[in-house]
Amino acid sequence: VQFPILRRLAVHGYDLYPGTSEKPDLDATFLPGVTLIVGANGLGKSTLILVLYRLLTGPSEVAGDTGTSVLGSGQLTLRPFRDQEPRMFARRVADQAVDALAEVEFSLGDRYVQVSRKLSTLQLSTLTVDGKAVDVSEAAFQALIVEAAGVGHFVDWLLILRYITFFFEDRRSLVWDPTAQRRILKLLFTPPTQEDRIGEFEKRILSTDSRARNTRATLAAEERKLEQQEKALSTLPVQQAELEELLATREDSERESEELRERSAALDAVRADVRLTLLRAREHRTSLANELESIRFQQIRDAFPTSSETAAYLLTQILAEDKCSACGTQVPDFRAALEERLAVGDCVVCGSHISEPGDGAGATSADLAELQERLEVAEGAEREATANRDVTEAELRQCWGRLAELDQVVRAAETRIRRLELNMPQASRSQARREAIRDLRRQNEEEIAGVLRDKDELDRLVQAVNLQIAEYQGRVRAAFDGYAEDFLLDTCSLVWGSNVEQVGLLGKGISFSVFQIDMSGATTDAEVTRRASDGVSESQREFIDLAFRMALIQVAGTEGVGSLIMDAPESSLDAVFAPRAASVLTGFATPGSESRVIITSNLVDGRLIPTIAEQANIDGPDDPRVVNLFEIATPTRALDQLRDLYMEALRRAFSPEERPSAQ
Amino acid sequence: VPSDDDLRAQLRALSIVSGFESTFLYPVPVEMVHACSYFCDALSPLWSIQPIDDIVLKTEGVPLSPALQVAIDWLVGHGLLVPSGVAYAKTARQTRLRADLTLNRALANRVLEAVEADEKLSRETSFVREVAAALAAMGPGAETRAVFHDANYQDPLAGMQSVLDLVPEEGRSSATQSVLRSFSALARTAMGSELSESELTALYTRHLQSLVAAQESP
Repeated sequence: VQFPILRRLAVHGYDLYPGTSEKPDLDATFLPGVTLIVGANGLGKSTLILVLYRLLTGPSEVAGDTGTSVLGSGQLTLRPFRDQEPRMFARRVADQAVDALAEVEFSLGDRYVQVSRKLSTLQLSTLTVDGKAVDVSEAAFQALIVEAAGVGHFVDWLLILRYITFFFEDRRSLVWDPTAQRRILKLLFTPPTQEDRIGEFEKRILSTDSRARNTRATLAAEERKLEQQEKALSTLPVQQAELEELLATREDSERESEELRERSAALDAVRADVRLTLLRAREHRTSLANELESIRFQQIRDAFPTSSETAAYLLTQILAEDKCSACGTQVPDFRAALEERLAVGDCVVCGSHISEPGDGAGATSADLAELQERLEVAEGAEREATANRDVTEAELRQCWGRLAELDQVVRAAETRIRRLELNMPQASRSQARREAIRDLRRQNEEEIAGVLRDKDELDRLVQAVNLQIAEYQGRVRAAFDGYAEDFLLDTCSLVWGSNVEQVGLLGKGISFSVFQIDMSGATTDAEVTRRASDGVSESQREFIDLAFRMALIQVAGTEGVGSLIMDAPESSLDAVFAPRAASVLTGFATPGSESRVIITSNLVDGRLIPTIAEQANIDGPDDPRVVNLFEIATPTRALDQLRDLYMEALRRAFSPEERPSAQ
Repeated sequence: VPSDDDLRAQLRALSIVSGFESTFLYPVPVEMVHACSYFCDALSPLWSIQPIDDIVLKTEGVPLSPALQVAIDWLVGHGLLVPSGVAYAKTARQTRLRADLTLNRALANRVLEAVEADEKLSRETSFVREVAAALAAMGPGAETRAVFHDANYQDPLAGMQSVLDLVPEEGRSSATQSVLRSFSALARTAMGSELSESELTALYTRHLQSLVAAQESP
């Protein structure tokens, strides 16, 4: 693998780094050895490191990498930036970095690459390889990097930058994260094709494993349902008996309803007849009564021409209907008396003889008697018709009442039948479920067998990879020991061990070879393998990881060279360890080597910068190996107000009196 | 003691005569009282009022209500109505009473004032009076023709000497209900909104009036 050798970084038109009137903008050349980026908090040290990183990655990220989590297992893919991510640098300045351009020059083996990007969007602006412009596209850039760095995919390049080259403030760990380590080791020490094959197997195992677990969950649910069904089948006879009873009730009710409907239709027709008969009888009786009234009325008018019409009307009613309209009483005797008086010409009120009898509109007593008789017959017919109507209607209403009752019965039975049928366990359903379960079991067995087969194959592939990496492990350990002993007082060495990862949840874990740390601590002389970074001090943790990265660059990198970019390393160092850290860093990038170490510092009151300055022969802030953001960056309010103090700190950091040799 | 049905019929007859008299039509022919009562029954579903007669025989003349005739006789007997021009007309089929009726105000007003004080009774009497006023507007003698323009009466499915249903029964509407439901729907479509019972009554009788007038015009 070719690690990048960073050679130059320039930022133009970006308000964060306006530069000076003599030297506008920012233009830093990274010479072999150490380069220091110095500045107070807020002057853009970390931003500058990030600019460098994003020039190398472009607007892409490892999918699923949240920036804080460990890398974990699963296949890694690339994802393009989304939403506001490409505007990370634009948001930092008022003009949205519309004219800002950043460029980086770096070597990858024998290739010399120059890349420039717009800081507003990270879009590629120019791309040259060995001085020749090439197609300006992310695809071309990524292809170029993959080919020149000797990695399988561009995502591998991102991993190298994130886990080896750049040491950001978040201190992403490599030696303490076995899943990240096995990826890095694999991509550093095995051919890309082998890595792809392992990735494919992992993907297939995870997919089949997930499917198998889903099938198993479905199977369990179906088995539970079957159990319930079979339990319910034991209550079947009771339910069947109820159902049969309900069906019989419904059938009987419907049959009776049908009969009743037929009966009511017949009765309705009869009622229509009897109603009509009644109305006609009534009309006939009324007509006859009126005819009789007409004669009677005429008789009264003849006998009493001067009587009021009301009196005549009332007397007529009595004579025709035996009824007194004044009081509503039936008065047959009074009618007979009236009739008698009228017949002989007596006064109907007092009985005195007053005149000859009238002819009653020419009607004889025989006529009257006949009319009376006809009227009585008509009244009898009306009474009969009324009785018929009443009987028919009573029967009809009884029919309707019973029909309504039966309707209720049928509806209630149907509701209960539906519910019973819905919940009625059926042997056929159980049988169908049993068959489905059998199919699911077979499917699940096949899936599990597939997972286990693939796992065996993956295990075989991984062991082959482990063997390949093992060829380098001795050299990595030796390189690590060299860096570690310069830094640590404890005995600390790498152990070539294994980490079992569970790829999917089924079957055995896969044993990936990884490096682990063996240390002796203050409490014991015996070396203890530290699989996690717990129990190790912050400075130890970081510099063990740094030593591991350096060892990997030394062993895996062509000619053992590379770049290390470390943001604010002194933040975790105490006074004793600072000079040792400086020795390790300058030792990695000696002036004779092509390797570069770029370190940012905010000039905390410590020993790191003076020691590095002395060991790397950096004379002062004007040295070309110092990027002095106090001059280049837009000053913060603190810098404006406390400039003298900051300048004194800067002077002291590079002062010969502060150097270890002068102490 | 008169039954509730008797009292309703008596009140119906009294309100009809009173209604006609308030439009200066008096004395009121007894046939007109029967015609008006028939319309009250026919329109009773609009007001949710029970009709006096549940079935009516469709005849050549105005349908006669026996219950109403008994009520008229009773009112005459008690002096609330005064008959005049009493006569009996004989046709080939039947003999009918012809008489004109006048309200005896001295007695009738006491009854009508008492009715006004009762919310339920006054609602029914105002409905009856509205129908009477609408018939009176058609002019003397128009009541018979109005009956024959009535949608119930002219129902082609019910021939002469057949029965007209005025009361709904188990599971089916009465003839009058069906007719009035159609009429209400038509009116709602035409007017664009739901009409009140008074508006529908006025609209229906106005419709009859226009039909009668159209028939009378040369």
